[in-house]
Amino acid sequence: MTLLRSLPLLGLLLFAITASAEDAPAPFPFEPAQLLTVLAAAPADWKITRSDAATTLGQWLKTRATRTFQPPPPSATADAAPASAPGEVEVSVIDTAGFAPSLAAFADFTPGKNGALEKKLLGTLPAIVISGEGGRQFSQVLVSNRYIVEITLPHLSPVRLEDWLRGLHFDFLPPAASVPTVSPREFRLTHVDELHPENNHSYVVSTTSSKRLAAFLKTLPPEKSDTETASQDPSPRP
Amino acid sequence: MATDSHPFRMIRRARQSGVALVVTLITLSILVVLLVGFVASMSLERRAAHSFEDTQRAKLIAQGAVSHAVDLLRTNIPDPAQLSETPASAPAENWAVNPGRLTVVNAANPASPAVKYIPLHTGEVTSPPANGQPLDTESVDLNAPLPGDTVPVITGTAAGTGKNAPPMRVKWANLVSDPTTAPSQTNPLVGRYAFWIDDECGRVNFNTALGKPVPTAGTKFGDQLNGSPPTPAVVTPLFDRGDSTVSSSGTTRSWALGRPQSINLDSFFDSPDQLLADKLLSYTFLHGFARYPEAILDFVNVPNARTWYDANRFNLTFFSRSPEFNTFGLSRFFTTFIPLSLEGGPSYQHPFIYDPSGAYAGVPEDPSNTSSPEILHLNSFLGYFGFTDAVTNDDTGTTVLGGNAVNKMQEEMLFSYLRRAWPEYGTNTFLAKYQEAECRQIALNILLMSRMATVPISTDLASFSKEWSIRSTSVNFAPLNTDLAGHTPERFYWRFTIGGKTVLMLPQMPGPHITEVRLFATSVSASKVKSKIAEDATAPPLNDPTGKIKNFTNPVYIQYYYQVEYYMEPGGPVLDISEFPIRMDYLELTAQGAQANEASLNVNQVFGATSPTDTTKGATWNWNAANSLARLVTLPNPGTTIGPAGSSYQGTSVPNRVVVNSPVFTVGSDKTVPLITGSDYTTWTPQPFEAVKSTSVSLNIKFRPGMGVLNAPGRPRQMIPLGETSADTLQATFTVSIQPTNKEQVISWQINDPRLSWDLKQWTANVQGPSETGKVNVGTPGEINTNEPAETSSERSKFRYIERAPAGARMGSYALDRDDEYESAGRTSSPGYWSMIHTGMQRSLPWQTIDFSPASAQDKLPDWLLLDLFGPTYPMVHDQWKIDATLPDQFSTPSYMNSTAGQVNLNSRIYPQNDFFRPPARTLPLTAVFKNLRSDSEVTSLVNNIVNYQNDTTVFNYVGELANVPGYAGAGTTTWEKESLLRNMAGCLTTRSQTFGVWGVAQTVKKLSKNTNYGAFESGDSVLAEKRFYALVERYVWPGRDGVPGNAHLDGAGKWDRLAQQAGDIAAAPGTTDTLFQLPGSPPLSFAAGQPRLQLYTKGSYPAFDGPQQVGMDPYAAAALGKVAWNKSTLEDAYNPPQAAIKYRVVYFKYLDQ
Repeated sequence: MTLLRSLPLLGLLLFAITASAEDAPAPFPFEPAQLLTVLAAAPADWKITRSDAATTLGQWLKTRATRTFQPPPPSATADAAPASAPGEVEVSVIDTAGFAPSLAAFADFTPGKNGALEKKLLGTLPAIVISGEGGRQFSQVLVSNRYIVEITLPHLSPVRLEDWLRGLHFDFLPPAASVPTVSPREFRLTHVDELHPENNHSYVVSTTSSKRLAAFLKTLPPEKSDTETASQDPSPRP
Repeated sequence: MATDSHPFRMIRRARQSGVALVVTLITLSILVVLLVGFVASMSLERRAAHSFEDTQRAKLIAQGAVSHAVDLLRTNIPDPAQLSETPASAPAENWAVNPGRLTVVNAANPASPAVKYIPLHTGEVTSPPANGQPLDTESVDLNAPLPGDTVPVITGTAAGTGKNAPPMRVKWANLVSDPTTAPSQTNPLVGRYAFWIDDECGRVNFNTALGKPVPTAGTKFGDQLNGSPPTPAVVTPLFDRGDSTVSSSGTTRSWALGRPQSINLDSFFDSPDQLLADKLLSYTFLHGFARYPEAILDFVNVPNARTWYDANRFNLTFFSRSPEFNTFGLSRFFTTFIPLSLEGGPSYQHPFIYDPSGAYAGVPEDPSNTSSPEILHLNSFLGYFGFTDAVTNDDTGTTVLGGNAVNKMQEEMLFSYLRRAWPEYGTNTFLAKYQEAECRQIALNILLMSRMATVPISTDLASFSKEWSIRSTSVNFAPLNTDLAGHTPERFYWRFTIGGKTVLMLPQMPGPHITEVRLFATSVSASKVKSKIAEDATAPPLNDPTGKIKNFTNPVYIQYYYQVEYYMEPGGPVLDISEFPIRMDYLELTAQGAQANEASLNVNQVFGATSPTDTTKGATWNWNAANSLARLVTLPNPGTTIGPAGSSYQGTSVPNRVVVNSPVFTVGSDKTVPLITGSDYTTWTPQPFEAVKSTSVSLNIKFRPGMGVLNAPGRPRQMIPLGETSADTLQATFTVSIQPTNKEQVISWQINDPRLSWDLKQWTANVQGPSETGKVNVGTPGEINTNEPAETSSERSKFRYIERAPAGARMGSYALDRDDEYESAGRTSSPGYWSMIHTGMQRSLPWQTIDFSPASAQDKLPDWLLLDLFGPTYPMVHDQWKIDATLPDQFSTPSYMNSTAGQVNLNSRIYPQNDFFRPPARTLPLTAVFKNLRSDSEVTSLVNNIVNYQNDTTVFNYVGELANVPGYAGAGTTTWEKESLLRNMAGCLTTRSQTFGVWGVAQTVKKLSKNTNYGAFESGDSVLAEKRFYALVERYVWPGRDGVPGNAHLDGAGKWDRLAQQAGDIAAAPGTTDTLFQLPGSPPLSFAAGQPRLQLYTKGSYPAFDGPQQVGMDPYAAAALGKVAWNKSTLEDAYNPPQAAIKYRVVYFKYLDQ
């Protein structure tokens, strides 16, 4: 039974291994709308209260898609008062595009436990599980050395972590883009909110490259001589 | 026998006697006839001789009448201020002209100004003469048709002919034989004259009026005038007129709305094509203005030209000019690149004013400079000044920067005006309205906008962007080496001591602006991993050069970075924002977490001076300090463009908001910002925190970023906020999780009006995130801020600037750039554009600009009074210079010697107002001004309201007063739209005049011997001769004995010579000589290789001034502008008097009955 339950997860693992083996680290994460397709649909009787995705640019581009699921209210029995409703479940998939610093938490991954933090393997997937207050459980699972799945489970969650993982559909993603040789100058960052499309927006952002910064620093005047000269104000004469 | 008695002999003898008688009688008859004839002839001759004499006397009387008229004007119109009078001290004496009346308001006592109304005629007829005397005994109808004609001489057929001709009756001025003694039998009345002085500026000048088209949507003019979201209206709407003769590159020429050519001469025709506009434009453009009234007949295509002319001549003129002196009698400010006056440009003789008090003498670097009272200062806003050009006082050897020498003087001069009480407005001043700090700020704002309006900038995107960044900081304070050394950018701020406090300022900048700042914080694992991204944005924690993390179980670094949103206002240029880096003026962070040994760790890094007196940090005061502040820079990538909404560059749309991230920084462990350069880890000194000992790190950051200039490292454009202490910072507090659950923290600061960026309170902190639900949507990057009004809102509708852009930048389908002031499509086409100056920066009032709304809607003084300080700048266009070197003069150039051609006077009410003087209302000229800017019915209504606004005690004292007229705002919904008329057409309007039409009649008369009122005309007295005349008198600034500005003169071929050579040689390469070089009395110029035009040669000299008052120039200003020499002479002997001496001349004279 356990083996049968594990089959879908094995499929995910197989995809992950295959993807990891075949694809070089993608320079760009998938678009938010694409990444949303990975997330699981709501289990029967559950309700999706949040479903959005956005690309951000810190050290590098990163796309995070998040869905929050609200379980159905517990049914009251004749001889017992209804139990308190379990909290919501939040599932996120983060596409790091393989950017190593974004995956640093999984570097030199060694299973073990340190207080509330436990590192373990779910199948072959490295996972970091943190037990929080009130029985909450936060888990990060590394997939294909590129995607981080974050799942927050409430106390007494009726659905296990593995079950949520099985619901993910990385196979829905299109083939990853090839690696460009030069990073583009600008990036369009998009936010998609499936439940509230009026919040959708995007903007273009560029960043300061380390090369450009280094070149710039070499142009600076001597530190104690910051007075400008006429040569720095080229003549505008007609 | 006696034969003597023979009967035949007797008969013959008898016959002989009869013949004699007959002969005698015949002779006598002949003599009588001859005598009678002679007497008759003599009588006729005598009468003819008397008639000729009387006619000549009448002509002399007519000339005397003109002299009387001139004297009436000269005596009553206030002269410009004296050289010894400054903006602070010149008398406040305003004047306005109506046809037939002059109004003078002397505000020497502002609380109780003295208003005088001076009739501009020989006397008002208020009632018929007593005792049944004919009307003509005391007055004359100047409008009466000439003998044998039916057309009234002044009004033409505009208001009826023959018996229906409107009377324009004024009293006679009587002349006795010896005007120095009382009338008597021996000193009787011998002549009389009458005149009425019309205002030629009340008419349409057909030499300058051309006409703007209907602004239909989909046409260039319509789209540019009205715009339609998201493509906004542009600052200088253009229309095309003329044929290839006036265009060097095409079939037509573009004209900027606001020039006198915007006045619609076609208003005088049933159909616009009846005006041969192209032919007229060609003539005036190529040959100068036509010089007589009927010249317009060559340019009309109507069935009966004379009939058309008679119907319209009351509203037409061939010569009208209005003065460009302000209410204080000083030259208005012209916006030019270099001092233009001596080339026959807008200003008189020189672009300077005299400062005997030395109020403007001191420059901050050299307060001991007391070279006054021989200081001349600028009255042109010049685009020339190189901000960092060093200028040296030859007397002392002290060197300062040119920007300071000139900017400071002009700033003080503007401030002086803002301190003044204005005639008709009591004791109120702009100083009282805005307070000193705001007035100082307004002055700086004006200086920079004028600089940006005129300074030449390259046309390709890269060069344009670079030069725009530099030029836009050229009105910053220019510090000496020793000024606040190391404190950059603080040393580039203007500092005014107001109320005992130091107030810092930067001028109002044109875009781009920073409108949002977001600060991010997060933690990263300090594990040894390496990025695989070739162009990694930041250095990853590759290794452990300091050896600090080896003792940690789970080391993490705290990282932070910021993001800025660039914004370009409507009408701004398309720019490459890589020229506008964000530098860090101050950053202080405090991070508290756990160390490897579980002890708490408290990191404090401070970059930059904590106060103006902080000298403890050495080079880290400087935002270019390489180890600290300079590393915190944000450098947009080259080629990242920004432009106004709706713009494009080379066919690609350009965003008006661009977001740029800084590098990602790491909390360091020492006094530097950790940095890896390539494989160099020598300054990689991050501070690790232990994640197994604590779940979070508290991070407090105070920072003060600012937009700088890539190629001028010290100069700030925008500070967030402007300040010098650690309190003057954006401040954020984060609790950064250092667990794997960590999510990036962010806080956003947004501003409503970025021109208020100096004020920390204007930067509204948005919610900090992520929120409970994990959203990271904090702030509005790339979008309008939450506290900003909509792009199309009224309050931000005047968020504009003088418009210019690189070639290839377009708004909709039209070029965004505008030409310089020497082109008909120039960007300075109306002084109304000064309304884009911000007036609320120091008071932290967003979106406040010079207000062109009615005075009743404004506090104290209405802002539009400031329009009186600014002159329209319409010098001759480049093409005209090349066509006829005899130009320019007052017959070729709209802006010439402090007068402007073609402006129409708002004061249309004709005086005197009585039943004996009833010319038709003069509304057509004002209709021509506003034609096509509104519907015909709306224009008619507006003009009627302008007419009705005026009464015997209410005149338009200032052009801006148009804002008080009902209907002025029209149907516009935004402030921009409501102010459209003044903004665009202020340069086409005036309240004064330099040109006066004197309509008169002169008679020689003879008293009847029995009449005894010897000094007046009585019934029975005889009119011996009469001459009716029209003289056009010009009031003008005297250019000196040679009759031209500067020292130029005409050579034998009628071409301008240039005698005013500068001290140095000008090496003008063949084919590249600027025509400016050949104009009369150019300022000292020099040629620079690779430059298409000559430049001001600061080591050269202007043509020497002369006159009774010694003038010189502040040594710093001289070093910046060229030297000034002076030779003593009488005023009448001066060739270049610096005093604006007013003279009068008759430009045109005609006896109407000849």
